[in-house]
Amino acid sequence: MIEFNNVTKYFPTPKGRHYILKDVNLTLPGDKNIGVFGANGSGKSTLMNLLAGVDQPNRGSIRIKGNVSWPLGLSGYQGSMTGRENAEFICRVYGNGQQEVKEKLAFIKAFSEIGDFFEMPLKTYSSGMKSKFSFAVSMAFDFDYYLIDELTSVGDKRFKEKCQQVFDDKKNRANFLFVSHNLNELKRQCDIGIYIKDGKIHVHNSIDDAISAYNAM
Amino acid sequence: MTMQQRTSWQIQKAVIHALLIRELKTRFGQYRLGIVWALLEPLMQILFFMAMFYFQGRTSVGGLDLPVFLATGMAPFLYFNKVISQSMGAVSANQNLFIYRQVRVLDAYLTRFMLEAAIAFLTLVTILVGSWWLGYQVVVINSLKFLLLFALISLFAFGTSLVFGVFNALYPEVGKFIPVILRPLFFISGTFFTINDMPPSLHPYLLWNPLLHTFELMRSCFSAHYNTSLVSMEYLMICTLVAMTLGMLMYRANWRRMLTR
Repeated sequence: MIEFNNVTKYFPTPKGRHYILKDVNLTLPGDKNIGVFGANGSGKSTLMNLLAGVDQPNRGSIRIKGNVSWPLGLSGYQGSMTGRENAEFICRVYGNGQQEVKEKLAFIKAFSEIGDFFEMPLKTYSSGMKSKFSFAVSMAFDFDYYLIDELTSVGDKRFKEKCQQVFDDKKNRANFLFVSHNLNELKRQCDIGIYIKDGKIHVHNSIDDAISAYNAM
Repeated sequence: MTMQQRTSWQIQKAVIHALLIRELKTRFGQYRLGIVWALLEPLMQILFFMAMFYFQGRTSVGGLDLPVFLATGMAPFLYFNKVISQSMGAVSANQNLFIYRQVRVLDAYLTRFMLEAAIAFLTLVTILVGSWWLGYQVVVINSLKFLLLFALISLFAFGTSLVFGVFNALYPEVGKFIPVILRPLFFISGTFFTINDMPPSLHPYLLWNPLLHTFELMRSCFSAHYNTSLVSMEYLMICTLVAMTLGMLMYRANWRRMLTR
């Protein structure tokens, strides 16, 4: 369950405050996969950061039951460090024990299919390899909520199917919140849809309704 | 399946551990001689000033052999400077790691500070032991006082670095001037002179500087006769308290703004 209590978020600009959210009060169900869409700059990433606890609302509060992932995307990695070192860093931040770290590293290396590049600095990766690596890292950790920021358009058809399998597997015990421009992708993955417009979050109880309501505007 | 609940302390410990390893890898990864470089800078300065003193015909100052006298000024001064300059880049160097909610801005500052403290302590001890090995007189009169002074200069440096670090993260264009302002400090902090040799008319001005108090008190740990009548441990403690309070307050008031810059 995600609860917004009077949440206001703005960014100061030279011409006054630019509001992303204005006095938002709502509750999102805890057992649904949520698709987030909206125009560029409408505040999708800000919403992700707020949910992930990376950014804080200017007023109000957000309450989430359970563990929330970091905004899973292509950022948060360090180019000068190898894939293994990057993965180890995250394991350490999450306080994993030695055995767990070993298992996670093995999973990431196998799932990402990057082979020996796992021991090379991230800046040497092609963009495809980087996406695969990021995806593997994201799926190596167990959360109650996965915040997924444009991560899924990864790799070839076979890799996509593999990703879908992990998703389906995880959906049994966790929930997803997807940010994507790809509406078909959202339709496939999500139960309900939300979009941000004029400082409000609009919620529709089916993803199809949300998309048609959004398109009608 | 959920992750087990961790206490704040466990989380912070894990984060600092992760950041420390990362910092070590990025700082010393390429050249294995990284730690030697850390030693080299104070050593060069000490040798330079030893040569100056030698041409003046002096082999000791205030009852201390030159290497000890200079090491207790140069090494902690470089340490102070390094903590500040490292804190200036702490936020920008770790910006993409704040995406993990566990990683807080303070952890970035703390990690860099802890690394500098360890390096500075090793450097200082190495130089002192090295001087003793070379035959200079190095007598530790009061080791606890020395440790206390090292702790005080560390906290003073950390507090000051928070003040400057936060300032620099919020106003980078103004922050560029901070190193320029700090540079002349080297010449007025008693790194290569003792306050006792200075004309009394200058005392009221020089004694505002807590660094000078630190170095003079550190020297008194190596000689029972070193004159410390002009400096005061209490003053240093008060300065440390003020620096830490100001630094923590500035951090507390601004850390959210630093996250999303």
